[in-house]
Amino acid sequence: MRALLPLALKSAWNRRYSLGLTLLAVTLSVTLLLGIERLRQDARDGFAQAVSGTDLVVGARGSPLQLLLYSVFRMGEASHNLGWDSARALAAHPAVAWTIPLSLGDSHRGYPVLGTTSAYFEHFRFGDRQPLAFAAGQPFAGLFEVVLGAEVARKLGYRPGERITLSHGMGGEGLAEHGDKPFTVVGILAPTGTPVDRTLHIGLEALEAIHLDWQGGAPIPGLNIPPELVKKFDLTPKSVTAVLVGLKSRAAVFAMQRHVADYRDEPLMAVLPGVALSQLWELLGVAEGVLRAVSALAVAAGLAGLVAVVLASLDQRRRELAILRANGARPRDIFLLLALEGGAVTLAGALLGLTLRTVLVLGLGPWVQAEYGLVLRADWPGSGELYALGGVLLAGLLASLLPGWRAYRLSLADGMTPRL
Amino acid sequence: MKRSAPLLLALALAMPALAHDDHKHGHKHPHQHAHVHGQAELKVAVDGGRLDLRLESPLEAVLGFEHAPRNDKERAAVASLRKTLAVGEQLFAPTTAAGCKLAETRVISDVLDGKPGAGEDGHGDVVAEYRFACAQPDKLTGLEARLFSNFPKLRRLDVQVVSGKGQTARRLTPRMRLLSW
Repeated sequence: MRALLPLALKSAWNRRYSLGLTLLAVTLSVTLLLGIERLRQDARDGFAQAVSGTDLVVGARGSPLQLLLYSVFRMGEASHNLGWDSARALAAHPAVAWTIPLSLGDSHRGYPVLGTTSAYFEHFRFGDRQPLAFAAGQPFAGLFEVVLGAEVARKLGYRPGERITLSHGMGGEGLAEHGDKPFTVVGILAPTGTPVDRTLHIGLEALEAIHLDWQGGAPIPGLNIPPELVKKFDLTPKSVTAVLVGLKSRAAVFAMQRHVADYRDEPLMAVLPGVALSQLWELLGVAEGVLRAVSALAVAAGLAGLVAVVLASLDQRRRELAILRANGARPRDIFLLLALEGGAVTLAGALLGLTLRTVLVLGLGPWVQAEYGLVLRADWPGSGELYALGGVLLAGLLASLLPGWRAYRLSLADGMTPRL
Repeated sequence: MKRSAPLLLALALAMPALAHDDHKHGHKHPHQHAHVHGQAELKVAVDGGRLDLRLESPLEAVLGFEHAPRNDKERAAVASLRKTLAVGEQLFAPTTAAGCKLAETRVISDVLDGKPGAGEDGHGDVVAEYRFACAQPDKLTGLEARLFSNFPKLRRLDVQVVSGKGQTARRLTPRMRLLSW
């Protein structure tokens, strides 16, 4: 058998074009399979990372998922606001350890502007319950001061001390500017791999101040309150988009949820972010299943192509196999030779697919993160990917038994002189 | 908006389900959960050695009817349900090694209390709360929902878990009774 290997390699080299194309098909299908698994896993991890320390997200009663996606992930549509009085009552509840009010709606060059309080920098947690860290500067203290997420600062090239203006509303070009009240960059956050990186943070009072002389989404004609004078006005916010709540004891979370739902002054709801995300993944499970099935079918097609190519080559190789037999190769050597050829192509395809997937993740990762806020990791394959790889190898080996068995039968029947 | 393109798909898929949810919540009872026969909800909070369970079930799933008992047979069924719900250890079995003891039980239901119950929509619910105290909190990793044996009409248990490892939602059925966190 050992003597056969160099011969087998040379024989394979002789058929390098057909085998090479088959290898390409297997490689691409494995890349697809692994890529989808990676996307699925990283999307779940990324979402879970962004809400790690928050017990409840409180907002106006409506769709829990909409509130969560908008307030935490800045995705989808705006939900109703909740009154500032409710937010204050919530913060004063004995079971509540901290609250972070969030107010969204404005933007700066496509990046969302978040109105909040200094509690955000103190209590917000991401990833494995890590606190926010500053790469430069400090939290906002004055009125017209802004703290940038890491990606905002990097993409737009801002440094502390820079003066920027905010736009009214979200999305794209042509928005009305809050040009008369520029903000000074006072801090830049360290990267988190969460939506925080794409956010500009200002105080709730500042958000109120830039809208003082506005009404119904446009500046009131003829009214212009200069920045120096805004402090003469009451800058207490009237409402906020949502409030993140941390509790003193985890055991109180469901009781608190009911307390919020029963709140008398306005219809509110409290969402358990982790539970809402689990429910989202369950809803998306069907779509995930379809994607996985499609990629599994692509692998099956790749392997079918492999078997077809090896089988087709068999007819051309009957003379070659007969010569091997004449030189002392036993029928089971022939069987092994063909089975191993298919197995080797599968193995090479799987490894190349893994490499290609890693190269793609490394190459496209930054773009995916910028466009979709999804952090792709190119690290060692996780259990899901290892299972997928194992499945491909097993299927490839089993499929290669077919040409092996056919070659075995032929070599028995043909003996030394195949009739072609 | 281009950022949210994949998520819009998610939203589109999720919205009908959520809209439906809103509808079920209704306006009469602010926090009344969905009332779907055969399905109950379980809320699990794990905080160190303390394990809090709250079971919210339509009476249909555990009793078979949702009105105040009208005859001796129904009265007997109510008495039997009271007894069953009082023994929380037989309904829920936390990890044995954790050494959990039932410390507190509370059962709330208008119908079981002899009140007419069954709101304007003709449905009635029961809420049972159990608090376990566990001697070995580190070993507490899950529980077995044995109540499926007690209540054959219960087909599905929607579970929300809050533990040191985070929050998650799970679904248990008579064939899959083990919950781990």
